[in-house]
Amino acid sequence: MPTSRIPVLDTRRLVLRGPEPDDYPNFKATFASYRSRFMGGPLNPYETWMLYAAEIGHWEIRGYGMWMIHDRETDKTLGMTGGWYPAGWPEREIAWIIWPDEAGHGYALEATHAVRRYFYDDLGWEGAVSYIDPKNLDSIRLAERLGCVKDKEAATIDGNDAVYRHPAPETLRSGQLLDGIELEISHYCDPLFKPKGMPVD
Amino acid sequence: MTLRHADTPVLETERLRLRAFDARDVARGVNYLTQVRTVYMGGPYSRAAAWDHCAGLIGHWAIHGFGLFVLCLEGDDQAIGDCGLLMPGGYPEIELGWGIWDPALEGRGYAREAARAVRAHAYGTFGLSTLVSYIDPENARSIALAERLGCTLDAGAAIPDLPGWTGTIVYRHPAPEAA
Repeated sequence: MPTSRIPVLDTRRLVLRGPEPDDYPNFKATFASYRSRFMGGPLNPYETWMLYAAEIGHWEIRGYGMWMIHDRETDKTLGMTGGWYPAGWPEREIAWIIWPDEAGHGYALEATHAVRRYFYDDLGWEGAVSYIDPKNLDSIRLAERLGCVKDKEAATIDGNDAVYRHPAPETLRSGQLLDGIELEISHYCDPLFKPKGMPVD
Repeated sequence: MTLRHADTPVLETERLRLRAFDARDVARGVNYLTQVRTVYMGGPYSRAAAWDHCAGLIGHWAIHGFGLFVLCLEGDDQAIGDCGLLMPGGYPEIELGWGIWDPALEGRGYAREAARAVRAHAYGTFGLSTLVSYIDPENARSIALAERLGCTLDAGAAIPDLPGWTGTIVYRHPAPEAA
């Protein structure tokens, strides 16, 4: 799918659009930093650039990929979320990263909840996993808030990652899990309330 | 300002059709990049790394509006090699690169034919005024081709400041009026 035809997803605070060349500087800053240590980084300038180019190429090859998360009001980029399935991955992954300065506002929760719904409802996915470094506690916590359960039987990428399996589409259609996710997002959106969990990502 | 794939140029030479590297070239591209023959250009890659590299080559077109072409023989859409303009992160200037994917098709002048077409396109359509080719000093075939293309060693040119690049030599292509 050409990047010009990547669907735009809207959430209460965010707009998710395909990665554009202009968005590269923030991606570069994050992947050159210690923030990327759980995602194979920090990367050198060539590796960072080629990874960003691959984010775009992934859309062309697979027809889905990673969206750039924008603040609805200011349009600034906050991070990325979406589907990631390069050749080395055992299964389709739902992945996310938030720029270091933007963490703690629930953006990854809000954005990832939206892309997962898109994959389930519009692309017909029956499930997905997230591959997470066992030391990446913020991401593990987010996976759990999204209803994921650690799958000890599932194949890993290279043995250094834990596999978190996302709830099936029917589990997310209604019920306590969906209500809990949407309540937590609404708490982030409405500053009168504070999130109950750890304020990560 | 994302480039749409339909807008990428197609170059025709006497024996070749050059079109932008795209999703249909990934399987053959991965096969090439995992061959030991790619030792002079950062290979051989694992299959996973080769796929990532191919995805990056597609994104290269979207980001820069130029990139790597694949070489197709007349009447066949399958890529037999690549040639194009490369400017990933860490490169000090735009490189003209090439590779023949099928060893059985080496030695027939396809890379030379493609490189001349890409260079003319770069100097003409894009208005570039200079180009380099980064070559491993042990890659005798590519050195020979660079010299046949009229390139000269440029000892003063910067090479990418990246791991594994030490010792890479820079061939500078003749200027547009001399090419």
